[in-house]
Parts: sequence; C-alpha cells; structure tokens
Amino acid sequence: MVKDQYVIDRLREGDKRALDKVYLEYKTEFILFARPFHISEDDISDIYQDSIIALYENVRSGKLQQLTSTLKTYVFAIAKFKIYKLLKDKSLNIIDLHNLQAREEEGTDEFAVEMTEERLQKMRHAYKQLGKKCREVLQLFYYEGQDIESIKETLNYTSKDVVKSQKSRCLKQLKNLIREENG
Amino acid sequence: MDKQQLMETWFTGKLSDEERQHLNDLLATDPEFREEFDFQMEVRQAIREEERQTLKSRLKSLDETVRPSGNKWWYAAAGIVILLGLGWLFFPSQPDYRELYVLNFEPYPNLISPVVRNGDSVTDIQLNQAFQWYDAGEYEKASGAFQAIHEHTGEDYAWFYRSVSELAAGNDQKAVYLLEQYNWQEPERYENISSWYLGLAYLRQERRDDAVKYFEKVSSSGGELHRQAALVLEEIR
Repeated sequence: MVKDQYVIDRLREGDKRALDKVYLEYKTEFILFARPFHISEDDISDIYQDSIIALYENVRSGKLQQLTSTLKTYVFAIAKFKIYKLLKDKSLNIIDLHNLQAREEEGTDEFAVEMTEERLQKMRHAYKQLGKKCREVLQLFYYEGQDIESIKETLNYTSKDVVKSQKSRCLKQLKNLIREENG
Repeated sequence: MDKQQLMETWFTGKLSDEERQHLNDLLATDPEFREEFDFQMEVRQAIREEERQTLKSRLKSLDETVRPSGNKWWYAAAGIVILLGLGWLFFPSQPDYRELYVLNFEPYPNLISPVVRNGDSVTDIQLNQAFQWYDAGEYEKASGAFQAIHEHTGEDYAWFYRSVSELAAGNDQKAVYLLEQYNWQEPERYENISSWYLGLAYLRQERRDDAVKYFEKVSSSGGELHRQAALVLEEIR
C-alpha cells in the first residue's frame, strides 16, 4: 500500500513511466484472470489498456487521491467492471463489485451528448490542427479537469484572465476549423 | 455565479448540488447556453478520445519492447524483510538498523562476467579474476581488481561492483563515498540500484535520515527493488 500510494503520487504528476510500470506489473495476472470469461485475447488487452487509462484519468482529475485498496485491486475492479459490461450478462455474480471506489468512478457523465463517429473524428482532426499553446490549455481544462487557477500555475500565465481569454480564443478557433471542414 | 462561471465550474467537476440544479434549469430554458455547453462537451469528448488513443498506443508499444527479466535474487531478501516485519508485530521496538542491514544486504549478483566473451585480452582476464574473487567472497581483492578495470575501461559496471565489494567487505564509508561521487554514464541502469546500496550503507552506519532518503528514491522509482525498499522504509520510519 505504501508503494502503491507512491505510484499514485507519481501518476498525479503526470509521470507516464510510472504508468508504464503499473501496466506491465499486473498485465500477465490480468490476462490469466480474464481468460476463463471466454473473451478474445484482443478484447482482454483492450480492456486492460482501457482500465489502466481510466486509472490514469482518475488520478489526474483528482477523483482518485487516496487509495482505499491496493492499486492492483483498484485496477482489477475497473477491469472487471469492463468485462462485465462487455458480457452484458447481469446475472453474472462471479464479479465482485465490492470495490465501490472504482465502481463509482466508472459512472457515466451527466449531461453527456451523443456524438456520431463522424463528428468525433472531425473534432479530433480540428483539435490536432490547433497550435501547441491552444492544445495545452484545452487539454488541461477538458481532459485533466484543472481549473483556471491551476492552469495559470501549470503554464505560467500571468493572470487568470489571460488563461480565460486564451481558452475562449482557442475554442473559437476550434469552432472555425470545424466549420471549415463542414463547409 | 454567472452563466459562464457555472459552465466553467461544471467542467472542473466542482459544482455543488444547488449549482447543478441551476445548470440543469439553464440548459432546459436557454437554447444559446445549451448550444455552447453541448459544443464544449463535444470538445471534451474529442480531446479525451485523442488522449486515450495516445496513451493506448504507448501501452501497446510496451508489449512489443519488454522482455522478461530472469533475475529474481532479491525475492529471498524480500521474504526476510517480511519475516522481520512480522517479528516486530510481537516485539514492537526501535528497529535495529544493523540487523536490518544484515538481513537485507546481499552482494549484487554477477551479471557481467558470464556474459562477456571469454577472450584473452588483458581486461577479460582481469574481469574473470575480479568476478572469481567477488563470487568467492574475497571482496577486498575483488574491489582492487574492479578498480584496475575501471581505470582501464571507465566502465560503469566496474565502478559499481567495486563499490558493492567495498560494502560487502565492511567498508561502508568507502562504499558511500564511491557511490555518491560517481556520475553514471548509464544512470538508468545503475542509479536506482546504487541508491539501494547507499540506503543499506547508511543503515549500517545507523544514519536513519540518509538511509530513508535513498530508500525513498528506490521505492518511488517503481524500478528494481522498489518493493523491498518500501518494506525497509516501513520498518525504519
């Protein structure tokens, strides 16, 4: 647990190498665990990778600050939940969903919008065309859930107002890019 | 809180229940606001997707590059630390640093000489001799031989095994001196493991704070021996 908390702290700082280590550490065990569910090897790998990414996102966004279980249990709880969803077999009791912490964090978003695949790809494409500074601000705000104050700190902006206007300028740019693609 | 502020706070996940209700009402009654909100939700979704794909390719690429390491020598050491930890359950007391040292210290395994070709250059002969002494526990002799090899070749491993030999010979002060002053050419390979031995050397000197510093380094590295380091830390903290 002590070491696990170290890892969490490293992840919070965005240390991707720490994430690599976590990924490799439990991978074999997870594959062995998942095989009896009769899911393809590809799906197993996908689920495992997505669970590791979910871990990273939860730590970075601050949803996960203090572990209430071991790191392995946490990762496995997310992954089991994903297996469960994949199998869509609600009668399957083998999966323990006792790890409430991980389960809650798998919840879907309130107010989420339905997006077509086409729209999503267009937006991704437009996002990639933005300048580095814009992507930084938007990434910190929308992906990592940092507020304006901490973005100001992270990117060394002079004031919160500068961050705010930068952000809305970038959103406008993004909007224009998408419009161009559509037009 | 104005509309913009409300939206902003929503995206950072810090809305109170009351504010969330307010947001909900706004979304239902203010089409312009709704449009802007939906757009930003889409932006978030797109960025998420982008980031996830990047991370995913990173993880996938790991599968291709990683080879398993067959080097399990520290498991025994770990077992001992655990046993020791259990012991303290029954006899809670100030940790005995020297005892912890003795239980955890093990000369780093010889990972060099079986790999090196059995050539007949001067260095190869010196090297085989050095490791023969090292493996036989004649650490003073081994240290001298590694020193000579280092002078010839400047290789990190020679310096590293020289330092470990000194520690094994009981010259912890010298080992600390050697390990702390050296700049590794391959820090990835030697820095972490050196910290482990520095931690042990300080443990032997009963210099707790210095030991903690190095064990913390190892423990947080996630690399070789990080578990053992965490276990030792639990004992001495």
